[in-house]
Amino acid sequence: MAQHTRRRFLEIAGLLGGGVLLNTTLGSRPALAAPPGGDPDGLLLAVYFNGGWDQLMLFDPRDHTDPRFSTTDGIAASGIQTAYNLITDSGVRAVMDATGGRGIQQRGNLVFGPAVPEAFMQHYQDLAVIRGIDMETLTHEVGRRYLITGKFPRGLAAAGSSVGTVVASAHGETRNIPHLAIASEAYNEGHAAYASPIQVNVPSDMLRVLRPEGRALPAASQSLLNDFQSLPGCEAATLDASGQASLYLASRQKANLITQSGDFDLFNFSRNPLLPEVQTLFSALNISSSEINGVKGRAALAGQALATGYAQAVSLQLEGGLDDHFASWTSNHAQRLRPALEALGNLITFLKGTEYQGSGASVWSKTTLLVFSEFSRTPRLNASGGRDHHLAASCVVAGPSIRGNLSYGATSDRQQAVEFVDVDTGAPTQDASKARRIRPAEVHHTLLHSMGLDTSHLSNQSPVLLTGLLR
Amino acid sequence: MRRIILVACLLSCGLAGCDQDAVPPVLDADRSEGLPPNHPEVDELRSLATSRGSGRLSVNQLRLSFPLVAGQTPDGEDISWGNLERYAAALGEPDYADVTIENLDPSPLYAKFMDDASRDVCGRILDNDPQLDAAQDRTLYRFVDVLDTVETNPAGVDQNLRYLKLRFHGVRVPDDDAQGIAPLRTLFARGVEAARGTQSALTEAHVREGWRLVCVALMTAPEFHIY
Repeated sequence: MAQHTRRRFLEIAGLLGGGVLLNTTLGSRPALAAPPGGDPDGLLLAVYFNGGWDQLMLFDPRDHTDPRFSTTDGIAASGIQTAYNLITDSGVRAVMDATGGRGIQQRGNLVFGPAVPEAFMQHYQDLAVIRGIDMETLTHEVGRRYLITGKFPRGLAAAGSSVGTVVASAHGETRNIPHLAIASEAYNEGHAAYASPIQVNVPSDMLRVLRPEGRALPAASQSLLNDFQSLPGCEAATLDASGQASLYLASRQKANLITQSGDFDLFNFSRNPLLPEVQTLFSALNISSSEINGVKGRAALAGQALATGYAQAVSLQLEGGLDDHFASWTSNHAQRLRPALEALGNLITFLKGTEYQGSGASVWSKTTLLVFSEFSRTPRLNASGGRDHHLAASCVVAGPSIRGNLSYGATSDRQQAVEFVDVDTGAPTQDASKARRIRPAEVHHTLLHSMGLDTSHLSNQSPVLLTGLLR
Repeated sequence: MRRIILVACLLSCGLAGCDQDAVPPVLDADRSEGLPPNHPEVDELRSLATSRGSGRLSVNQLRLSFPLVAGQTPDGEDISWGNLERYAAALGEPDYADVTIENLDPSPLYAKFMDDASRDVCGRILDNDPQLDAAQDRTLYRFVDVLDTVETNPAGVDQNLRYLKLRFHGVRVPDDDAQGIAPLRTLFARGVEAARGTQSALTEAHVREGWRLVCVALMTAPEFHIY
């Protein structure tokens, strides 16, 4: 199914050439119930923002003209201070001007803060925003690993596998790189070795994975070596009590196939000239050659890994440096968030316009998306003019079986606290028989369930299915 | 990907095929006599006997192993893989800041980097060996001269292969066991011939290519990485 051949690349290349046309026909998401056992073509893109993002700027905003959130007395009473007027980012300033100082951007049923760019908001019909997630921690490592795995960490150490590993392991070893981790932590605890994340930081790292480095063997010698390695010696059997030798041999064979495939130019973002399909990718993400090691380059690498069928799951740390406890919050936070979300929005556009492996459907129609940070930031500025760590977080999800244009869950207008919700609707409720708290475990459980995958690894978290998120 | 699965199955079958002949003699059938009353039959125990769990070398073990296997330059400098520190994190070594547990999966990424490492280290050994006067200081030319082949010095080549099998894998191949080194012997001979091609004169470079292949094969074998 996901066999990656030159013919397949040529097919993809031809299709990419017509990306603009395809965007109009492939982009829509049909309402799909995942088949039992999951769709073997189901992809995952988990996007992490490191440092703890400010939800008032993004996915859980408040109206800056509302005196409860912008006047001294109002702020003292509500504990929420939008402070949008202090943000120096030109994009935020433009939004403030365009919205009459409110800073609120409405798209369909979704409300975005002033740091969300149009490139991201335009996909609102596919996106669900989950608000009021109780992170149960204010420690970076714990929150990060909680949302990476869906399981509360053991101390600082991750408990369990990354969601990418879970997805990659669900359908067998069908990809060259089942789980690609780009500048991101990722874990494998108890899943097959092939699902272990292959970790790269920048696109050039991908080349180091895909092509032999250093001294090469002459072609004739390489061929002899391949023949020799195809017949492992019997000593290896004595080391295979726990299957480690077999795993190593399979891994070696796979590594040889990858490095000798010659496909690495699909990920060669410095090639001159670029391959046509890479050029298409670059155009979609508006990347210049000087930006390939930044946010756009990481987004492009994720997109290429999914579009080419190389990866089934991508764990991507798109941006970091968001831990703004001090006055630099005014000049740093939005400046990091807006370009990153713009790159992510452009990546979604690219995935919508790219046909998946000759299926007639877009890559996006196969992709489940999770966008998160380890927690949010305090709704009120601290004495240093920055924001500290706050428990009530938000995330963005999307997927073939996830309802789009949906705002799910909530925080209160006092201290922006976690609200308990009715899981069937996502609306806050006082009905104790229905009221549930949303935690990362619920988010993971629901996303994996929407993909038709087993969630038994989360059972010790006792997660509740967020039924209102499902189509 | 069917090809990969097929290859994996073949490899597994290959190893399974070895099981009947190569399982370590954990229990000796002769010891069935004189067992305590009600002691299970030895054959029954044999079917239950397995070795300890095996594992992949850690990055630190690689750090220590490469110089031991590859040797030293005339200046006393250890020969190792130049990129080991650069890729230590990618190979699973924890930084004890974000990652506190070493990932010891024998993953494709690990295998890929070890393939890179083997070509690099073996090249360094081949560059270094000719600079060492004393045979006991050399690695790949321990019992052979730079022009020795299977045809010109079969005993020396065999002795060298036995030595390399011991040095790289810790496996002692007895002098009367020709099968234990036969695959490596064939690889060496074919490597030399492939490098020589249609040239009439055999050169040091041709023989060097044969030893390079043997070195890379040994360094990418499971016996090197799994213990």
